[in-house]
Amino acid sequence: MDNFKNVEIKNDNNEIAKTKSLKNKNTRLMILALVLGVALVAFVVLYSISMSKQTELKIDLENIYQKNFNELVDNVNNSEIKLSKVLASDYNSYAKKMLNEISKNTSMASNNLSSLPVSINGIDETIKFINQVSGYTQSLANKMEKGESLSNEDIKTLTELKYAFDDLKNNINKLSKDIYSGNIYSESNKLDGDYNNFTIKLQNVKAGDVDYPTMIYDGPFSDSTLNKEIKNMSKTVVSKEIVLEKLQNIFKNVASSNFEFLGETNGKFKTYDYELLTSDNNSIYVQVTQNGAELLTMSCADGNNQENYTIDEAKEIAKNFTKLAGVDMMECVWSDIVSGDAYINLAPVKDNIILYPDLIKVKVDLNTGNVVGYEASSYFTNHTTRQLEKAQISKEVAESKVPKMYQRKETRLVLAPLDYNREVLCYETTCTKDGDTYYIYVNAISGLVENILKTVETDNGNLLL
Amino acid sequence: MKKRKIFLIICLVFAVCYGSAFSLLQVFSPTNAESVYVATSSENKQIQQKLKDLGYYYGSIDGILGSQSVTAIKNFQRDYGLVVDGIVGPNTLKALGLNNSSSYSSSDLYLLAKCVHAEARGEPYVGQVAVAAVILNRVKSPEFPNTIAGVIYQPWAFTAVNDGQINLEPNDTAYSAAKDALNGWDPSYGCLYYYNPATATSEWIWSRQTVVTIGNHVFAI
Repeated sequence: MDNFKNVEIKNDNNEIAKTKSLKNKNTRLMILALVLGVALVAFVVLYSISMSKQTELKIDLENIYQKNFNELVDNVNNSEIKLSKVLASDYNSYAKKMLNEISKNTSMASNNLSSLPVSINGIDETIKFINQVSGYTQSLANKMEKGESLSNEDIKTLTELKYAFDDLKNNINKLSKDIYSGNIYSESNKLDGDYNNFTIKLQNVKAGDVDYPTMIYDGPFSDSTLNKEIKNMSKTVVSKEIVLEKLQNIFKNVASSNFEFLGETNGKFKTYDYELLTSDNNSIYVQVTQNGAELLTMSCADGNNQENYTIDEAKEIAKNFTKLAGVDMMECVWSDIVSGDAYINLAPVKDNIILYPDLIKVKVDLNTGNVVGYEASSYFTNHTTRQLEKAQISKEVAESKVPKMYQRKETRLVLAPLDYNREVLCYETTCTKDGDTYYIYVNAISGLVENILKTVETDNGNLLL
Repeated sequence: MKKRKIFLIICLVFAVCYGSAFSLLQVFSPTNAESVYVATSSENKQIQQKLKDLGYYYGSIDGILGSQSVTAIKNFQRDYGLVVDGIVGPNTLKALGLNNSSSYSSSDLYLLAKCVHAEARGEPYVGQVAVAAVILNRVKSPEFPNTIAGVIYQPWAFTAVNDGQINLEPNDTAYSAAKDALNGWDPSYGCLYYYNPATATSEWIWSRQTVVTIGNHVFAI
């Protein structure tokens, strides 16, 4: 009997233990479910916050794109209207005002267009057209500023531009309804080959064909400026051996085993490119022209700011190096010291006239006295035998054109490269005002002030602005 | 024991959830890029040079303000009646005579140096000059925006601008390369494009006429 009782108690105990473990299991599951539930809620909340932040940012970006697109449409429409007004005017002061405004409108249109998320090189022809119209209209306005009037050729070109602009205006207005719906951001994120969807849509916005030969003008974006011919280069193509010989002559302290041929440059200039390793393990990169073996550029990094050489010593070093490279009769015309390096500009002087277009730039490390940079592409592009005009006004007359508030220091005759590829004979007067240095350029033929440059001291050397 | 396990599970679940949500917030946050101002090593070099000239510093002019530099700064601050904290603030700069830089800071040079550093650090020096020159060639070209900022921030133009590396502080080499390019150095002679053949994904870039290869970059027109 007792035994039976014992078995019963044992069974009861087992039951109780089983119930307890089941209860414990349930509690654990409930806690786990609760924890997972809370975690899920927390995750969903944070995720939706991040999503709404992302949506906000997308809207911000879309708004910026929309602003630029709207302004682009406005600027294109305004330019077209103003072009019509120029053609309807008597080509005098009102036309000049309109031409200035077209230049501004097209410049802003170019700015708007390049602020849109367009795949690189997708609409380069349209940007080029707008920029060239801006440059061209500005050059016509400048011409009228000097008292000249528009030629028949100018009016013919303006008429062609008006028709080309008509097409651009119609295309962009057609597209605008679709774009105004607010899908620039999403369309710019869908890639189709190299271009995104937005670029492909915008590619339909084209100007009509313009007879480009009539667009030849001397403006900042004119084809003549971009494709400037090289005036001073031998026709003879030399071998690498001759180039190496020339380099060894210039860099006498570099062992012949330390000249490494890197390859060729096949651009506007054709060069052989070498890396030279100096005895103090410095790497110098040089480019020598294949025509005539002229040293064109050299570049070398240097990191020491100490100055053991004076600027006058650096000028002599620069002059001697240029002579060694094969260009003689150069005078130092500008110098500046930046972080332990002297930047020295040298120019040829003919009949006491400084030829600024033919600059050679030399960088001298003031710590070691070594030349660490050389740039002669302007010299080889521009230097030629020029028939220089005779100055029509005297130095005294030129100086009298300088406003009285400037204190004059020095005046000299220079050939100045001015805007639109012009080389103009000028008197350059160095003067000061309120402690600042200015350079004033008076045209030596017409007596007009052509340009004023101000030297601005910056944390990284002087700038001429 | 069991309670501890449950506690650990709770902690783990929360950590995972918050971690993933936080990283989501980070990804979409506009301030993801590094934006802390760090004095450039060239500024530090100026400070070291000045302290050396005044007889407070005897170490090398390396641009790194280590313990020797900090001791020199503290000694200088003590002698000049400044707060002795070893940090070069505006007052210490003024006392060192280094705050007289003009109000004109060349933002173009800084931006150009930033882009060179982001796009071409690790490339040979001349390759960095060429990258800066390509940016300046684009400014001159009618097919691109007409300012340095316009070219650099043109959407889709530079990968290092898209991913925020543009906001890294440029080093002295990038500054020097940018300065050379602004002074007219252009080893690419008018190139408007460059790409790394190992990573370039665009089809049309291969159709451009190659002018020169410098380091890992092919420069094209």
